[in-house]
Amino acid sequence: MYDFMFVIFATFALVGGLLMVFHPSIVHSAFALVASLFGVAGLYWTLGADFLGVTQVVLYVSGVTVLLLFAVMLSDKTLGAVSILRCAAMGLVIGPLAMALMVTYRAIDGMVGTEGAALPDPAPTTPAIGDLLLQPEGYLVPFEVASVLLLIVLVGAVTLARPMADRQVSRKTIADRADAEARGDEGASAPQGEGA
Amino acid sequence: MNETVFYFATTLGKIVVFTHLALILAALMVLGERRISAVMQSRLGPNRVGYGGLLQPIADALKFFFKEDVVPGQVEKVLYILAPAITVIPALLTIAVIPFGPALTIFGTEVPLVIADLDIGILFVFAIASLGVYGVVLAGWASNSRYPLLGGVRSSAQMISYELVLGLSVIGIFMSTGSLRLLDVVAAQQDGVWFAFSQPLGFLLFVICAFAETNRLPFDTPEAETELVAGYHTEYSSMKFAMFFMGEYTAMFVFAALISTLFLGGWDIPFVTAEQLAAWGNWGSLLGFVSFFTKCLCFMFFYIWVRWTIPRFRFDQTMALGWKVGIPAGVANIVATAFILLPPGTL
Amino acid sequence: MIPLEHYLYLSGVVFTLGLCGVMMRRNIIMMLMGIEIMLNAANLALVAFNKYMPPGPDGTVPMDGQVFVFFTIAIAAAEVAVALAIAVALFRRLDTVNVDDVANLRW
Repeated sequence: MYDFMFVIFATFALVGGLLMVFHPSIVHSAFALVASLFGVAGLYWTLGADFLGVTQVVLYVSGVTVLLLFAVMLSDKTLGAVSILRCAAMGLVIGPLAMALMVTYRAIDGMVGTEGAALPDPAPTTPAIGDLLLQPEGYLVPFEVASVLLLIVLVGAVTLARPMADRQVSRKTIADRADAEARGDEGASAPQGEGA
Repeated sequence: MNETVFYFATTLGKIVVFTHLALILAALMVLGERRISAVMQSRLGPNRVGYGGLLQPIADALKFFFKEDVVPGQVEKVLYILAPAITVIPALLTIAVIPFGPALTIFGTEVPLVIADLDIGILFVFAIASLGVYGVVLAGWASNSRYPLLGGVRSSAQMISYELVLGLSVIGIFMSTGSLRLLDVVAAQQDGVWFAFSQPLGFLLFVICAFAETNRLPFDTPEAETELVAGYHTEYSSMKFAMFFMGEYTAMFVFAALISTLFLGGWDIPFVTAEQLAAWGNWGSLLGFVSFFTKCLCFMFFYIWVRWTIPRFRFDQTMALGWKVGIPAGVANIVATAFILLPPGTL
Repeated sequence: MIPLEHYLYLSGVVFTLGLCGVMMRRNIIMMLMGIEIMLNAANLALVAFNKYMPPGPDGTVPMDGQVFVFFTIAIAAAEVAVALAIAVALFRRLDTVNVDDVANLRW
C-alpha cells in the first residue's frame, strides 16, 4: 500500500519539479510548484508524519504558493524558454554537485540503519510534537525565537511592500507631466528620476 | 464474514452514501435557494417540474448537459479544463472526515459513521478545503480575460486572509477538548455544553469565515455580478459551469456540517445523553444522524437568509474585517480560553 | 516498506531540480520557487531519517526530525514573505523582477 502511495506522490514531486524548472510560463511554473509541494506532503504521510503532511498543505501549498501566485500575477507573466547554452553550462556545475550529494546521502544512509522502520507509526503524532516543542528540555527556546522572527518578518514585509513617500512623489510628477503636456511643454515629458 | 472484506464493503458503502448525500443536498440547495429567495421577494420561484418544483434540479442538470460547451479561443486549454475539477474534488474529499452520526452496529461489528477517522481530522479539512482556492485562481487566470482575472486575484486574497481567522477561531475548541479528532469534539459536547455556548466568539468568527471561504454573500466579491460580470467563471459554460456550482454548494454543505460538528454538538440531541442514545442501538444512531442533518439544513437555510438580508461588502471592507477585526478577535478568544482553562490557583 | 535510499535519492533529485531553477532563471520569483523546492527536498530527507532512526532507550519513537521540519517551514514562510515584499518593491520602482537588472551593488 505504502509502496503504491510512494510511487504516486514521488511522481507528483518529480514531475511538478521538472515542469516548474522548464516551463516557459511563470504561472504554469507556479502551478507545477503546487503539484510538487503536494507530492512532498503526501510523502510525509507515507513516512507516518500525518500532522506534518497536513501542515505542509496548509502552509506551503495553500499559503506560501498562493502568495507567490499573487506576486506572479501582478508582475511579468513570461519567462521565455530556457536557453540551451545556459542549461549545458549549469549541467556542468550542477551534475557533479548532485553526484556529491548522492554520495553523501549514501554514506549517511550506511550510518543510520533501518531499525526505526520496523516500528509502528506513533499513533497520534500531534501530542508528541507539541510536547517536544513546548518543553524546556525540548525545543522551547528555538520555538520562541522562531515566533519573534515571524513577528520581525511581519513588520519588515509590511514596511518593504508598503508604498512609501516616494510613491506619492512619483504620482505628483505624473500629474505635473500631464499638466505640462496639456500646456504643450515638450521638455517636461522627458523621463524623470532615472535611477529612482 | 472475512474482516477485511467487511471493512472494505462498509467503507465503500459509506463513501458512496455520504458523497451522494452531499451532492443531492447540493442540488436541492440550489432549488431551495431559488424557492426561498422567491418567498422572500414575494414571488413563486420554480414550481412547475415535479411536486412543488422538486425535480427542478434534474431539469437544470439536463439543461447543462445539452448546452453547447463553448471554449473561448483565448484560454489556456489545459488549465481551463482542469479548474472546475479542482473546485469540486477538494469539496468532496473533505466529507471523508466528517462524522455523520453515532456508530452503527452491523452484524455485531461497530461501524462508525465517518469514512476516515483521522487523528488530525479538522486540520485535514482545513488543508483540503483550502486547496479549493486553486480552482478559482486557475479559472481566473486560464480564462485569459480581465473580469475572471480580477475575480481570481480577489478570491485568493480573500481566502488566504480568512483562512487565518478560521484557524484561530477553532483553537479554543481544541484547547478545551485536547484532541483534533472530530469524534472527540462531538463526545466532549455530549458530556458538556455545545461549543456555540462556551465559545461564542469563536462561533461567530467561524460563521463569518464560513461565508467568506465559500464566497457567499455578503463576501462574494470574487464573483460580484454587478462589478465583475460573473467573476472567475465568466468564460465558462455548460457542464464546466455546473461543476463550479456543484463545488460551491458542496463546500457550503461541508461548512454547514463542520459548524454542526464543532459548535452545535454534532449528532448530539439536547437533553439526551450519549448513553441513552447508545441504549437505543441502531435506532439511536439513526436519530443522531437525523439530528446532525437537521442542524446542517438549518445552517443551509441561514446561508440563504443572510444572502437576502445583508448587502455585499466592498472588497477593502472585506479585507479590513478579516485582518483588523477577525485576527485580533481570534487571538483574544485563544487568550481568554487559556485563562479559563488554567487550573485555579496557578496565577 | 520502502527503503530509506529511495527517499534520499528522491530528495536529492528534487534538490537538484530546485538548484537548476535557481541557477537557470533570472526572475526573482522563479528563484524563490527554486529555493522552496530545495528546502522541501531537505525537509523530506529530515523526515525520512527521523522515520528510520532507532527508538530511544525507553522505546519512544523519535520526533526531532519532524520538529526540525516545523522550524524550516516557519522560516521558509518568513523568507518568502520578505522576499516577495522585496520583489513587489522592486517591480514598483524599477519595473523589473529580473535580478540581472539590479546588479548595481555588485562591485
